[in-house]
Order: sequence, then structure tokens, then C-alpha cells
Amino acid sequence: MTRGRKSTLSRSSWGPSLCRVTFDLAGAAGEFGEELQELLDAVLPYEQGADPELRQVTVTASRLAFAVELGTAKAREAKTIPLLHQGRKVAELFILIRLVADSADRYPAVTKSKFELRINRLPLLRLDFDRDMHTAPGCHWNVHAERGAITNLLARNNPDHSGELCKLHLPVGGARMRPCLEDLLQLLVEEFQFGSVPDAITAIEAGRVRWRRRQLAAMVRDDPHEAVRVLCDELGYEVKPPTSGARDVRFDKLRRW
Amino acid sequence: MRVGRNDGGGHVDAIVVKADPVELAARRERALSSVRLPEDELRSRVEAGSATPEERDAWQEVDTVAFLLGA
Repeated sequence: MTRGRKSTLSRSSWGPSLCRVTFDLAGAAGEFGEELQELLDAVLPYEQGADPELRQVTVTASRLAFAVELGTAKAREAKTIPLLHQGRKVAELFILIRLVADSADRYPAVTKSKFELRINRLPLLRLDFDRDMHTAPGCHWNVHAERGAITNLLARNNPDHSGELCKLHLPVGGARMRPCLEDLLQLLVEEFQFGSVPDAITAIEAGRVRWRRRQLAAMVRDDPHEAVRVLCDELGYEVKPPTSGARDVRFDKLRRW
Repeated sequence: MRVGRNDGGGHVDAIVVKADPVELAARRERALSSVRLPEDELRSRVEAGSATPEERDAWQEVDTVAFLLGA
């Protein structure tokens, strides 16, 4: 496996078969990985004595696809981040993000992500996103707990459902309005009170602003008509349509759960 | 720029690695060997919700390799 830090990547390191667009994508995926590393390091303390490379964000690049995992470069398999209480590991955070080139091959877009709070390798909470998921909400929480009343309801109403709460997909706003990793990190720090780095909330909030601006930009691309209406009718801006014509609203994006 | 301070241990920078098909195939084999199941059976157990935590992790590895090789 050829290794190279983001900052030392050069076009030649990717071989002559990869075009400039691919190089730029690899660079952008590397920046994505660095952003993630900085966020995690600013929020979750390292376990004393543990090998820091086991929580190193590793971006594995394969042409137009990128797998973002933790510790893979060292361990040769995906690892979890220990969650600490009084310096002792009491739970784990699993993070997996997959990126592919967007429709214009300009940016690496998240096609799938998986964030899990685990204890003894068993999931307690899962936040899953899959851009191509159609049988369940594209982004959903799974809660690994049981509640008899929910099981009874599911069993009575939906014969195809096992009745297990952990197999219920709780929708959280679809691809555009889904929670970000920062939201989960804040839950871990504030409600579960796992050990955190001083001033972790500053990093979380900075990351959340970055995330919401990106999502907002994507939503403007989905529905430029609504963006123009708000800018012109409510905020007094003047907006000119492009000479190529106004872009259609992507109702397919707006309808999906 | 790093925000905050992490005193628990050393820092690492994110790393970008170029996928190697041979290495990926070995990663897939390690995952399957760790649970001693063929891929189809492992997939069935995960989809049925009957997989152990070790099997779920192994499936995640197999699935990631498939994602990278199929790209």
C-alpha cells in the first residue's frame, strides 16, 4: 500500500492513468480526512499509553472512491476510538465514511456513513446514512434497547417487522438535514459525559457551522427557486438568473425521507 | 489549525493511502478468516440480524473492500 500524507501528495504519486480531476478529488478527500482528525482530536482525549496511530484517520483512495476509517493504516483494519471516563475506556465510537465523486466529479460527496456508540463491541446507538437507501430513511438512528409497548405496536400493525426497537429506523431529516458527527460528539460529551478535551464545544460548534453551510449550499442547489424567493422577497436582494436559464427544483431530493 | 488541546497522548495527522488490490484482497481474507465463515453466510447472518459483534465487524471489512475494489 502506497502511503503519503495529504500535504505531500503530488500528481505523479497517483500515476499517469489518473487525470487531474482525480488528483483534485484525492486532495479534497485528504482535506476531509484532516478536518475529521482535527475535530476528533479537539474533542476526544487520547487514551493514556495507547498507540495514537490506532485512531489516525485513514483515507483509502481507489480511483473515484474513498473510504475514511480510523486506524486502518496501522492496524490494517478499521478501529474504534476509546471513550473514556476518568481516563478509563468504558465505551467506543466507531466511525466509517465513504466518499465518491459527486455528479460533476468536482467534490468528494458522502455516499455512506456509519457512526456507532458501542460497549463491548455491541452497538448502543447507531446513526446510519446511505444515500442510495430506499427501503428505509436515508439517514436514521437505530436505538439498541427494548420497549415492550413499541414491540407490541409493531407486532400488531406490521407483520413484516420483527418488533425489535433496534430495527426501527428513526428518520432524521434525510440527506440534507441529517445530523452531523458534531451532534453525536456533543451528545457523548454533554449527556454521556465521556472524557473530553478542554474547549471541545468550540471545535464542535465550529464544525457544525461548517457542516450546516455545506448542507445549506446543497439545498440551494436542490431548490434555487426557494433561495431566490427568500433573498428577493424577504431580504431585499436582487438576484439575476443565469443566462443559461433557471435551474429546475430537484423535487426528488426534497421528497425523500 | 487545531482547536483545543489533547494531552492524553501524541498527535497524528490524517493519512491518505492509495488502495492496493492485493492488500485489499488480503484484508478481506483476514476478515473472513477471523470469523471462519464464507462471505455469503456472513452476509446472510448480518442481514438477518443474527450476527455476533465480531461477525458484524468482519462484514464491515468485507463490505469496505468491495466498495473500494468496485470503484
